[in-house]
Amino acid sequence: MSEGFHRVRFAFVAVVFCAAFGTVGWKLTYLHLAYRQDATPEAAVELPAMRGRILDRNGRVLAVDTPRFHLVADPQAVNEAGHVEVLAGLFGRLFQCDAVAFEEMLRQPASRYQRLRKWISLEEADRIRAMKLPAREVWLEPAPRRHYPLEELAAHVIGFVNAERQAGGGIELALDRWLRGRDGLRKVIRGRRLGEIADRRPLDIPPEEGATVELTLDADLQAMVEAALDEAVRQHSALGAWAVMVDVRTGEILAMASRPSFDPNRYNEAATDALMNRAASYTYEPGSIFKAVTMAAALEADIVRPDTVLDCEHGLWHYCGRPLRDFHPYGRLTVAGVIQKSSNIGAAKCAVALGEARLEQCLRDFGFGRRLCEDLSGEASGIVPPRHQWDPLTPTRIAMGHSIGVTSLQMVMALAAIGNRGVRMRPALVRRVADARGRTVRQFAPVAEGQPVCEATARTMCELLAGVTQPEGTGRRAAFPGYRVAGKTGTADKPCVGGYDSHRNIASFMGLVPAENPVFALLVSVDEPQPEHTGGVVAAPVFRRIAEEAVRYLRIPAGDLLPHAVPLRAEEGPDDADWAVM
Amino acid sequence: MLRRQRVKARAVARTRVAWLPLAAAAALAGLLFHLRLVQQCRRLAGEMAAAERRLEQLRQVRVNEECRWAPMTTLASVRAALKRFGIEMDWAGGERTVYLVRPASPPGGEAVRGPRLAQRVAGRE
Repeated sequence: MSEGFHRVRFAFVAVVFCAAFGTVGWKLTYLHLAYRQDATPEAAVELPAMRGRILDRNGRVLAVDTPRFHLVADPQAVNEAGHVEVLAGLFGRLFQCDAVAFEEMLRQPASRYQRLRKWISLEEADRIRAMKLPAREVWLEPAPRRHYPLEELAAHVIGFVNAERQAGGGIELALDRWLRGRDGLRKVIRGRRLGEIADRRPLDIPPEEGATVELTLDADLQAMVEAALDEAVRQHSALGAWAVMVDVRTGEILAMASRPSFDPNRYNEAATDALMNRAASYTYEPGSIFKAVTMAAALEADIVRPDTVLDCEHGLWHYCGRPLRDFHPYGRLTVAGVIQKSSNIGAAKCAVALGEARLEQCLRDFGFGRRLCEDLSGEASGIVPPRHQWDPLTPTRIAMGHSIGVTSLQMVMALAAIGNRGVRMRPALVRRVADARGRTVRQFAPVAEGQPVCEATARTMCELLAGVTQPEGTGRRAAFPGYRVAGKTGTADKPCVGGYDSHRNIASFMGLVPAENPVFALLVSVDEPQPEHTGGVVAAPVFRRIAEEAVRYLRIPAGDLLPHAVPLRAEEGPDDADWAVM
Repeated sequence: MLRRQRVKARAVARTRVAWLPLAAAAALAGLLFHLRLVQQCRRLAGEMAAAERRLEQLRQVRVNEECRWAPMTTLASVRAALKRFGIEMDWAGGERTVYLVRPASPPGGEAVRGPRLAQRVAGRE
């Protein structure tokens, strides 16, 4: 063969070779370098952030986002494939319900989207996945849902999150900015079968899970309190009941319960009345439990001493032309006796002697008339009218817990201040907030907000209040063996048009345990109990039931019973008792 | 002279001819290497996506189990379980509790019962 032929042949092969590889190379270069995003199916996928968990002080889960799914179908595709009866039968058996309902939903050939069942569980979703149903006909849509595993427990404190993922009260609302997290965003490139091409993500911002909130509540104490309240409501046919338990030394709220209650998992079925946290949002006239505050102020101002004798006017005292009555008539009582017997007249005389200015200052110092806990959504501030709106009768009414509106939280914090050597702590509901990586972003530290009474007065008050639970006191039903309880009973008539309704009242008992070195303060109120209606008969036993269990749970050592140092009745007092009659 | 020129020209042509397949082979090798890298990236991305899905599944299972576990540990559930098995059990009262206090000087510890400990706590002992 000639050399020219070889050259031509070689050139031909070289051209073919270069053309083939050039084409492949050009295509590869185009695909990898000159890739055009607008020519490919790109989709933005929102990555919803998981809402943070709410735990009790021992790490028990109170609220958490759970995986839930919606079962969705494309009825048009199902009808075209002729799978209506088969799928309806399958889902009927799976969910143990009538298959006809599914069949009706699937027999809509014009529809392209039909939710067959909402909020199905992970187990049910796994069973559906195992069936390997055609993906273009039936699929599962992730729909995380807030779940409250302990159901009604602490429902008012925790609050709820609705179907649109909006917080609707309680801690869920108050700490929403911590709990909700931050949604992520992912832009993905879909392949021919609409599956993601995993190595091509133009944008990938991962979601930030919400922070975990650790409460000061103890789920076990909460359960004790709620069980006792349920029993009280049932036993006394009451409209409602509520209780607050706080750690005296730190101000931490250990339990807070309100009845009627609701299940936050089914918040939409709850009556409006049941959603209210009466322990913090309900302003009411506290009645005689407020005498603890009045008498503490009088002792602090050195107006009276525990052995000062007051004339209780045998049950009827006219002041500024208006009568004031005691539940039981008493003659002369010491201050200790006034507290023990809950004499309205005795307390009113102390308030009059104290004076309006000092009484008002005392109310402010104890924290009445303003919100106390920033983490408690819906907390009421109470009603403390300014002094210039008072009439001459007002101090006598405030002394026995009328003409003033308080919340149970304010009341129990005032008592806790007495139990904490006069130091008033700020109530706390949140112990710690930790982000998704476990780093603490907010830590609780006890905050002293003031000292309304000195240590000596506080100790004296504890002793005086301990007399209330003695056999001759109004709160004897709150006492239990091994421990001294310092407490106060209260029975407040509810206001009605033109005055007060003596048939509708709120029975309360609040107390410190143990009296000599208080660990916790507890307030129990029962709304409109029937037929018994006094705090000593209705609320004190509820207090006892809770406190008796709580001291064992909290491992509070039993104290020895101290003898009374204060004479209870003037007639029983020593010869040198202060007989100042007011 | 003419023959020598002819031999030289042939040698130059051979050199030119050898350059082309070498360049093509190098390009081919580069392409193959690139393809292999792309393939590896795609495989790793696939594995990462699968791991992401697996992580999400495990997280869902964990949360689900937590939700099932939480109500089982409540006071009411524990009491119901104890009752079901006929066990009478409750927290020990103060009279049945022994409090151990860290000894100040003597070794071996000191057992202090409730009332005495209360006195200590209150600063009366």
